[in-house]
Amino acid sequence: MVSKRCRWWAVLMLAGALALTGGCSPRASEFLRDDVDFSFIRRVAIYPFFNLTQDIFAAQKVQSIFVTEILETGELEVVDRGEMLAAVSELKLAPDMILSPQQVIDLAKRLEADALFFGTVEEYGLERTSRDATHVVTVNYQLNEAETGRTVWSSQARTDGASLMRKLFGGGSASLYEVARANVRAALGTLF
Amino acid sequence: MKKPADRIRLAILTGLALAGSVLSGVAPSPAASVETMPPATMALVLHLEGGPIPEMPADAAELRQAAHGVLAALTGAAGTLVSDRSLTEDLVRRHRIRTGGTLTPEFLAGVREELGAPTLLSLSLSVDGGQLVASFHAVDAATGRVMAVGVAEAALDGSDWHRILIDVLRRAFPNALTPLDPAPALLILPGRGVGLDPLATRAATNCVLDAALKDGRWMIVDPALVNAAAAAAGRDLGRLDADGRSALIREFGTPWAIVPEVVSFGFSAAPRSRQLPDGEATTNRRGAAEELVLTLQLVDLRTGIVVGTRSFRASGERGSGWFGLTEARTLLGQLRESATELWPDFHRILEDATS
Repeated sequence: MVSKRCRWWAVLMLAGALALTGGCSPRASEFLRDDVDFSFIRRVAIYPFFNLTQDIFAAQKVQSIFVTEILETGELEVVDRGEMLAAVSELKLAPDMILSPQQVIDLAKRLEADALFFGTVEEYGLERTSRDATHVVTVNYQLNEAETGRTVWSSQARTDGASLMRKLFGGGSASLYEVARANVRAALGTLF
Repeated sequence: MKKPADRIRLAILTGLALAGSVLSGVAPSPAASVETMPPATMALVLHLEGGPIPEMPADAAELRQAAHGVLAALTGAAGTLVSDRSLTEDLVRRHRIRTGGTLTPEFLAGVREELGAPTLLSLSLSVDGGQLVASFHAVDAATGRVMAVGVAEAALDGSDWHRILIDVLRRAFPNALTPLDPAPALLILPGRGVGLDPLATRAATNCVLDAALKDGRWMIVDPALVNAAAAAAGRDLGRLDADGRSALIREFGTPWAIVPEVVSFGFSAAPRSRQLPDGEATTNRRGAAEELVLTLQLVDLRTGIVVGTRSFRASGERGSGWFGLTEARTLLGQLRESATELWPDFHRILEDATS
């Protein structure tokens, strides 16, 4: 009886500790096609991320973290950004252009990639509420396969720099880099 | 117009500063100290970068004249002969070398054949964020190999700018060159910056070069020459396709290229910035030091694949002492720390890939 009570206390304390120490609170929703064998995807390219925020570099900032995190998984080969931009230019596309499935197929073929990643940065910056301010990043990620151009994975992640610990003891929001990295990790966590 | 009294004052200050550094035994250069610079002829090229801005302590001609005076004293103290200044400037004009980042093989051939100098010493001076920044590149005129890099900065705090100039040049001056031993070639492409001005991006490239040179295991071609080789093949390094990559392999005989990228994660408002047509973006000026991430990517030029990457985050502030007092850090300080910390870890990827 005593040991059961102890176990409950341990679980409660662990949950409390996690709530207190959690830095950036990530929330990611995802869509994953279940009729696709992802093990066939080895070589990927990353299309320049779209930016819907006031910070005109937000897309490039998040994309920089995304490339690093993808490579750190060690699961995929990533085509160099210069090669991607050369292909975009060659196929008369533009970095801020929404691609049709046929354009996705053509681009992937030109890059010899098995799939293309896309990203849209929807929020990047400081969100002010009545009491305090915190950094917020929201990004929509997408993976389109090369053969049909269709979306096989999609994830929307929202992260902020607030935590219970910070709210209780102060210290401000986690930095934009930390929040953006947590966002990328939350999204990729639904894929790998 | 410079007054004679100013000239005398500058000469005295230069002499005193140099004497001070010799007497106190201070090594003036942060660059790799492998071999003492031999008494040889050097061509010296000076560029003032960033254009006339209100922060400039003096007008361009005056700053240039003063810098040449200090450089003459520094090279003299190192026992190095310097090519005739008018001949060098004529060569620079003919080859349209506008910045230290626009060197060409033809210009280096001119340095070697017309000026008879085996080494080019290029100095770029800029004022950014209230700091006077000096960066030196010593380049072997025969191979384009970087032999030394020196970068230093000093705050323009309203005191005598002559004194600040002497101090910053003395600290950045590379009085030691990496010996030209055979080593595997490695390309470091000009860095890419996000949320930073081009001068800051250049400083990031210099810091990476410095870290790689200190390693001493690679023959590193000057990034400006890599740029020139891509341009000669009709390609842009920012959009390097298979033909461009092949051209670089042919020219430099190595399939390995490092792409430095530095990202400032602070909020970048639109009015300070401009968007370039191909989706690249840059800012004109940087503000206070903010959180930076320096990333090095190793690209296999044969396939166009990024084979490895490492990042380092440098905070804009540093805590110190028992009470955690914070001090703002300069951008160059952040970049130097990032490059130094990042290189050993990145080098492991490089070794794995090249072995």
